[in-house]
Amino acid sequence: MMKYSYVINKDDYINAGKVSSQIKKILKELNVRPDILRRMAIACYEAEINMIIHSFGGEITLVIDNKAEFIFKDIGPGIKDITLAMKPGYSTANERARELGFGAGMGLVNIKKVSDEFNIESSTKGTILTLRFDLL
Amino acid sequence: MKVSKLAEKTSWNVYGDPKKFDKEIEGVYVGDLLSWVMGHGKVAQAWLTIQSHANVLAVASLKEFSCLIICENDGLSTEFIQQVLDEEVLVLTTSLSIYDVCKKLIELGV
Repeated sequence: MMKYSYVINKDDYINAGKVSSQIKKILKELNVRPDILRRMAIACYEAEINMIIHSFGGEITLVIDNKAEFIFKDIGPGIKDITLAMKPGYSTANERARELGFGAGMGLVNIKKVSDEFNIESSTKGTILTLRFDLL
Repeated sequence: MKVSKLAEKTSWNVYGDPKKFDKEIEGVYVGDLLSWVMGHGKVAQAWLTIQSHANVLAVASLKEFSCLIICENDGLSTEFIQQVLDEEVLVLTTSLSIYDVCKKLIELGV
């Protein structure tokens, strides 16, 4: 089993996407099938961006054995209405994020679409998004 | 058509190393909303946008687009150019509008 962890900081737009790029490189070196790797990269990127834009910061963990599991865990403020957040086009991104092209309201939608398993739990203490990918 | 060939035929500015990252362009995607592009763009497409910051590079690289064409652009910041050189993606820039870039690409048979 291999485990990788990365810290994500609030509003760190300059480094946005760096963790996803690093993870993609790792997956490539592990010879993960290209179509699975692309789906994982999309999911990781969207979740990383969500943490930067919406959370107070948190941690991304990737565990790989015969499956791959991502855990995106932040320290709040939580998603008020998950059903609404899952609706395509719904976004609470601020103006700064929108100016950079974020806030399409497609992040969680995209993540769910590309993941084999998707689970999200949220309270004011934080959000935990868990994603699984079959590697075969 | 290869990205290098497109650059040659249009004289648009090229950033990145065409020798290392030259790819075949297989279609075109246009959009400025990053998550929308993430969800709908396809591998090897040329991506047309007006955005020019590190996050578009991350999307272009993760989506494995053949190139990124930044339209309506009057010049990139040195910081951005450095970031381009760190990514495995070719960036073309032009002052033309996205519409005019599309017309040019169609004319060239992309």
